[in-house]
Amino acid sequence: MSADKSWVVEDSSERLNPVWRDRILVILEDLAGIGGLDWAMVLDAQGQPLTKVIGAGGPVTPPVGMPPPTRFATLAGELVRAWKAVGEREPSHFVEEIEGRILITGIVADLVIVAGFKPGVARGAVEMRMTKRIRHLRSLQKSRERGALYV
Amino acid sequence: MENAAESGIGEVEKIARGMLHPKGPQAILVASVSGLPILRVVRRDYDRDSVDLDRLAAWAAELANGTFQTAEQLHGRELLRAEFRFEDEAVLLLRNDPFVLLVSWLPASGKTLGGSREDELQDLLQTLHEELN
Repeated sequence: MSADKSWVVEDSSERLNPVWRDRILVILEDLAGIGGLDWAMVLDAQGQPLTKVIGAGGPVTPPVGMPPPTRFATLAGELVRAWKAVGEREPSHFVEEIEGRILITGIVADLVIVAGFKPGVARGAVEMRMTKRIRHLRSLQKSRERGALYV
Repeated sequence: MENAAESGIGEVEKIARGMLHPKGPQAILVASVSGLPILRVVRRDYDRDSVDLDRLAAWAAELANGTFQTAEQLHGRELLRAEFRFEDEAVLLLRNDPFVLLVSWLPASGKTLGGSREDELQDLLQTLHEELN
């Protein structure tokens, strides 16, 4: 299934410029193709969803037990603060493992990308894919900050 | 007792040094959860080598405590492993009370620390438990 605009929540169109939105959709499409993905979504820094919850192949009903989105944004904010408090740089993403399930939280400018994986997924493969995508998005963000108009 | 503890640390240090690798771990630090330094082994080219061990241990413990507490508040479950990625460095935090283990490595080509190496780290923590508890 290809990602399309229906994957983005309706009221986020004012918060996302179209080019940035398309980049996010590419990332979600890539995540949806990873075997073992349980769910993924993109939030703004306040924890407001910018996309629907995506499972393997497309939008899904949020799984039972999934924490409220605002809590992921809070976690991301707290972790960035924890690193800055010890005089360090901001991490690009954070990988947790809880009861055999991998949860990845990516931080790109004012976006938070969260993805949860089913038990038994190959951690290395998932991390490499996420690393590549988040690095790409952060690189685009730097270009935006420099004033490039095409991203 | 002191000698036994010192020789125990010596054994752990030997194992940790054997894990340093140009394409893998560049620094391994063990601290108590309260921030007391226990062990640090680093590759010669590691750029934090000049930082004082007490400061690094306090930093690792503070970071681990902050990270694990925050994540546990979110999930309502105990977290024992957390990994952070930066553009040019990756940091793995493992907690095995009363110890915190921090490993820094260079994720060249997107490489992860690797399953076998992580097993070795868990073994290292286990050895530390046996030697010091």
